[in-house]
Amino acid sequence: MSTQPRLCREIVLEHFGPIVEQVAQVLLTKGRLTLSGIVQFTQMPVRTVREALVVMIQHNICFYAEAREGLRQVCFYSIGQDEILLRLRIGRIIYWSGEWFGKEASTITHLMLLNGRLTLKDLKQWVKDNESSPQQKIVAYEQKFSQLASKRFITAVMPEDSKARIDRKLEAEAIAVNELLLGPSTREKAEIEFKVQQQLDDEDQSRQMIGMKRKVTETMDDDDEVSASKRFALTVEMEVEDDVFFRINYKQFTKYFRNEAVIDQATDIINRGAGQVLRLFLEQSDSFTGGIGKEESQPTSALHVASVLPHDMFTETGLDSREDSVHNERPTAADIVTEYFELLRQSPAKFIKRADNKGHNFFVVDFKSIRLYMMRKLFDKLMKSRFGNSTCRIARILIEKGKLEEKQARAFDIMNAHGLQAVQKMAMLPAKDTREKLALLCTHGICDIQEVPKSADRAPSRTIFLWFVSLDKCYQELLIDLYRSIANVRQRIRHELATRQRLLEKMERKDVSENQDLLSAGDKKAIEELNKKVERLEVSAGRLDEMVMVYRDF
Amino acid sequence: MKAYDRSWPKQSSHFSVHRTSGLDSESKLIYSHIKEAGNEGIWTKDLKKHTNLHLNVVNRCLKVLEQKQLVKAVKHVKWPTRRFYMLYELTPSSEVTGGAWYTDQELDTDFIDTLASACYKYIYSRSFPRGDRNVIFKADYGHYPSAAEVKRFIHEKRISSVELSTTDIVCLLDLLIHDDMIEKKMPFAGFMDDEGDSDMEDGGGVEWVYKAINRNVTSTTASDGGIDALSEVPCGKCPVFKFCTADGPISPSNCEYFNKWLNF
Repeated sequence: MSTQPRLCREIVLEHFGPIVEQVAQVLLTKGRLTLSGIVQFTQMPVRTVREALVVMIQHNICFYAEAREGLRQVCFYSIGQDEILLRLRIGRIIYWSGEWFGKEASTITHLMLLNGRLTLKDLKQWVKDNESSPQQKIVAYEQKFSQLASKRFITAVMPEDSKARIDRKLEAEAIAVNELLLGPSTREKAEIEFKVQQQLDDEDQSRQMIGMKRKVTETMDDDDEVSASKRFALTVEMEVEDDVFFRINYKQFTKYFRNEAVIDQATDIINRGAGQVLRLFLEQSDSFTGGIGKEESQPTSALHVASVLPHDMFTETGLDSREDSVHNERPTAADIVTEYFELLRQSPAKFIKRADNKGHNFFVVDFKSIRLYMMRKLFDKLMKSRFGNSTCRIARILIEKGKLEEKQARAFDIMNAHGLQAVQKMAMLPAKDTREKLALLCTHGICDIQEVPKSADRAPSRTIFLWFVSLDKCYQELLIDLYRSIANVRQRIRHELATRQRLLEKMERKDVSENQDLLSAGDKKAIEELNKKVERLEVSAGRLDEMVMVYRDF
Repeated sequence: MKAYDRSWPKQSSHFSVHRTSGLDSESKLIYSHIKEAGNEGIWTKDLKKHTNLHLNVVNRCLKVLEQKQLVKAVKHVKWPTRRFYMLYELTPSSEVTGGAWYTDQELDTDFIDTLASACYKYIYSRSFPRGDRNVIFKADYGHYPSAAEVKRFIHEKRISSVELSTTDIVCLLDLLIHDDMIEKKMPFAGFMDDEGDSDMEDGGGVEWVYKAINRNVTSTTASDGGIDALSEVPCGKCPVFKFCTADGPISPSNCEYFNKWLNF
């Protein structure tokens, strides 16, 4: 699989330039290497290589591992492909942090991504240098910074960030194994692996409080009637320490993107009201803060959601009320929410389901089912636009019914109610077309054949050929195709910019950037065209990454 | 299928006795077996097996019978290469002709498409409240159409020239389900169908109701708005996608499809 490294190279080249790209390429193709190894393969001076490594470590896409070889301590460097691929999301992150938390937040994320990591002190310095009225701005920035930190969009940088996850895992495992007297049995090994995994997850989770200090606010003396515990809660607020480095927490952003996508999906297939209710549900059940790997959210009841229902939902429920006009009363918040819960539960995506061990009225958001639904939906859409309606139909029948013979795919048998006679139900396509379309799907690797020989000699004439679609495989391949397409688009952007290099250089010139009139009409037109092309390519790359999110991260 | 254990089926009417009177015993035997098969028809190989006659004899007899216009050969839709025989005066059953969807032993796809889109339009019109596009029916809404209602609609509007059974309609609706146009729902509890004539035909007495999935898709030919990201870029439909490399003879830098797409 060489598409993923290729895409990584494209990204590194675009973000860090050709020198870092060369180092990254060696690490991507050869695996982990020592400094001298990298120097040997890149044919670059040690100093340059070292600088490139520093840049990558600073941006958290390169890891090191120390190992003992004989008497020497050797340091190996490796590159994190997943981390690089996440950099595709940078634009989205800057935009949405601005949407959610205001302009200052987007500046903070922007700066943080530029520098890899950032302290509050650096930020204040930047504000002093760049903003017009720094004194007022500093407070606002400080506030946004701690807001981002407390919501875990940014996390403190820890020493283990510079170690690859696999190393951390192996280390923790080695410690656990050493505690045993004998070598671990298979079961013990599995147990250890599970425990270590959890330990690492916990470490990532507990990161939240690091780099924060408690701040006592002055709201204490306001109200005597407030109970002691509540007063305590009011007075403790978290604040970011000045000289702790912070970095972007991609996971948290991905989770928010996921939730937004889920809400969009509900709005799309049910209606706006359903989307709103689902958003309230997610907010109420704290799904914005829980881990992303979880299959379901915390349970919440309709009453909880009803208590925060906005007022415009009462007047415009989005529900057809003609039937109820006899009663002629306005529905209560609980009615509306219960109704939407039912709609969400019954929809084909099965947004929510009843919580297993909670009371009757408790529901959880079923992320797994939604994810599968979204993946299926996208896949179907793709097949439809690539192969047409009837081919897509055949594939869908195969997915639904499991393994089918060609004839059955065309006309599968279903016993009727009396169970006496097999009634034929048709996919309603002529035999010739069916065969052609199955072959087409087969060449594109969407469906496969399973042979079931009837006799011991396995003669093809006495063999039943069953067709089936393995969805997981399709998704994997689709993901690779997506990586490849993104890499293609990125390369094309690079190509488009390179062909206009002369013009771009001219644009950069000081006299030209100050006075646009120095450009000829032809140049202006070319610039406009170039901008249009690059924009189109960038938008496509962003949308492709959205698809990657659905298949990989959600 | 009927049992063939009787070696000499009873002659039921004087008419047939009269018709077969001039035949030899082997032809009579074959005639009786063909008659037994009714409007389903019988395959020549089966005939041979049941009568224990030599293939040549069977063929000779069939030729005689055909000449006398007592039996006829029909094409079976499931096995187009096999020769099926039935009595001359019978009309082949829907099993043999393939039912409503076949015209001259061939699947009539145009007919199916027209009917399916008519069904979809009908179901669509009953799946969402009229007026504001953002308003939807409640979860316990009970008036989504069932297969019987769709059938009645098709019948009343005279869309089909052929008589369609509820099973045929269920076929069509399954087709729409596989196309992801409509979904099958359990009728809301307490809702009783006033038709009641098709309960037994599809599974366990439950009558399924159907609902259009996407409000933005108004007909079977329209796409549900928006194209996915991968199909939008040239790579999604590129015939040489697999050969394309970063610096090979085919590469994104010299890609013609990209040129076309970007200059559009």
